[in-house]
Amino acid sequence: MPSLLSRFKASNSPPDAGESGVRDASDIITLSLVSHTNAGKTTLARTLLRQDVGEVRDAAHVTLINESFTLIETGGFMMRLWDTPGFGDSARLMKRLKRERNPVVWFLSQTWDRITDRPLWCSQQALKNVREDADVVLYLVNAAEPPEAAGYIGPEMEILTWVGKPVVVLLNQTGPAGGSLFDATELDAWRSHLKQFEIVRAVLTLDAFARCWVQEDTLMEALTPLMEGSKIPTFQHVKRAWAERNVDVFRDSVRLISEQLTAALVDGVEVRAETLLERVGWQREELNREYNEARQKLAEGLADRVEQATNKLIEAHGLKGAAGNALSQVAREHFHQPQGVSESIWGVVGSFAGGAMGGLIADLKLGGMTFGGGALIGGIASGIGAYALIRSYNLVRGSDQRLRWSREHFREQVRLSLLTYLAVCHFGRGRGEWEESEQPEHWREAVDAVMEEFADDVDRLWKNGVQKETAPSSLYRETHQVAGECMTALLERLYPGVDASSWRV
Amino acid sequence: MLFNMATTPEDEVQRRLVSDVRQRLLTKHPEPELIVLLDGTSLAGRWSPEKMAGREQLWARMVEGLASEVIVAVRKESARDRAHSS
Repeated sequence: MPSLLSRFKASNSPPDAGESGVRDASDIITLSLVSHTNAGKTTLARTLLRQDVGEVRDAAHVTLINESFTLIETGGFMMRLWDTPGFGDSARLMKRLKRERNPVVWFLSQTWDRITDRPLWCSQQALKNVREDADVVLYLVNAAEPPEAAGYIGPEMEILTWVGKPVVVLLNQTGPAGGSLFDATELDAWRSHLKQFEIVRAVLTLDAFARCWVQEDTLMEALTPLMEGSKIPTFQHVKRAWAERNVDVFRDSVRLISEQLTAALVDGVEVRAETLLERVGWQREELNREYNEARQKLAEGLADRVEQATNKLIEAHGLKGAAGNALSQVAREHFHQPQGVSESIWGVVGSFAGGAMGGLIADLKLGGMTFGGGALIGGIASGIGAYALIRSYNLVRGSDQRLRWSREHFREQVRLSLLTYLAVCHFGRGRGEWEESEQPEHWREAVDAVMEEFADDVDRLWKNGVQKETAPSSLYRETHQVAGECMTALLERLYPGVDASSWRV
Repeated sequence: MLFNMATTPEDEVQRRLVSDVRQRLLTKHPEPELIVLLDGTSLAGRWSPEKMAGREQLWARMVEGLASEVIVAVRKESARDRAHSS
């Protein structure tokens, strides 16, 4: 995997000799992240770098100096990202600059006080970086503002036009991942508004909180035609390395989910056969107790695996935090109540378990024993109201007297794995520590559609695992294939037009 | 004075504007009452309540001593709500 992240501050110089294997300036692609103040540049930098860099706070002019980070480095080529201070007081600055014959040179030659002239100091730093370093400017806007209300865009675009570097506009703060909040109409409104600036070569959605790696590839595609001369082959190298890194993470994710699902298929707990009397319902207490213990054992095993797999997914995506910390605490407090989990406890769980897998873990750890009543949590949204109880057998007993997950339960596990994958791969590092949250409706629709498309394959997996008892290694290969196809189909549905050929399993 | 809540308030821009308006008002009224109304419609559903509260405080600090009150308003029947509920 190509190395990630080295960093150095300000002063607009080429990388130090020995800092990397990069030979000269033509081997470096430099992207300057620029915007009006507090649009979320540092947050986006964190998401793109998978590292906590800089300071993030809801206030104007938090970042005061230019800071450079290595986005990716491979085979002597490097892509660098500059996080810059935001422009401020732009309309006034523009008015002043218009009085000068050579406004950029004049502006950069002035001495602005970092404290008393903070907006101008910050604007100067940003402009200096764009002029001296940038191959392409990534201009970030806060898409929560309507374009016509963002009065600073005009002056800032005019200033950038004087410098002449190509600009790609990134729409940040679009709301929950690819959600309905930011629809095609809004994207069109921004594109139409920005059309007046010739310097703008592309307008893309890239939310620092909720972007998916697939959208990073789209950004790289948009940058491709903006490279010139010796930078063209350099960009091809770093673009390929970037895509490969993302594909590696995708493949890791497929592997982790496949391992989790395969383990669920092979898992089983031995129970003794019913006596004739027990079969007709006499003196079943002992047998029921045995079954409940077996159910609990299966449930605990599944809960642990789900939690572990989610944690590994989180780590693979360069995120901080872990799944189920809060849930485990709740589980410990209430674990002694195997039956009849009360409404109030579900309320507590609901408040912790916002997302899909949170709901499942909570169900397994807290309510695992309630499976005995034939109730399985299929909740995929936060809050008790959204927990749908699926009235079906969650366990089956095979001819080998082992209790195993039922076909319906396994389908639910696949569905929840896909939802969890979406939640993790859309979670931007800039958002902070991993936390589950309510998932957009269109994710559920997409997962339902994929589950329908691959229903036969998923059922075949269950049949091979539970009924035919296929060897785990063969079962894993099959599961890996199906999980990979489902995950690819899911991303293709959510991001129509993406080229999935390189990441297909 | 109505502002979009999604906008980060700046000393040199929003505070200065509020201050200028207040100065004008002072020429006509000895104790003018100036209220800042923040339109939070575009943030509803995008931002958490905590983040919304943080932004409200940021505005309140920014216009401290100039405005008597900062009120956050969210339009009920926004296109966003309709899209969300559909």
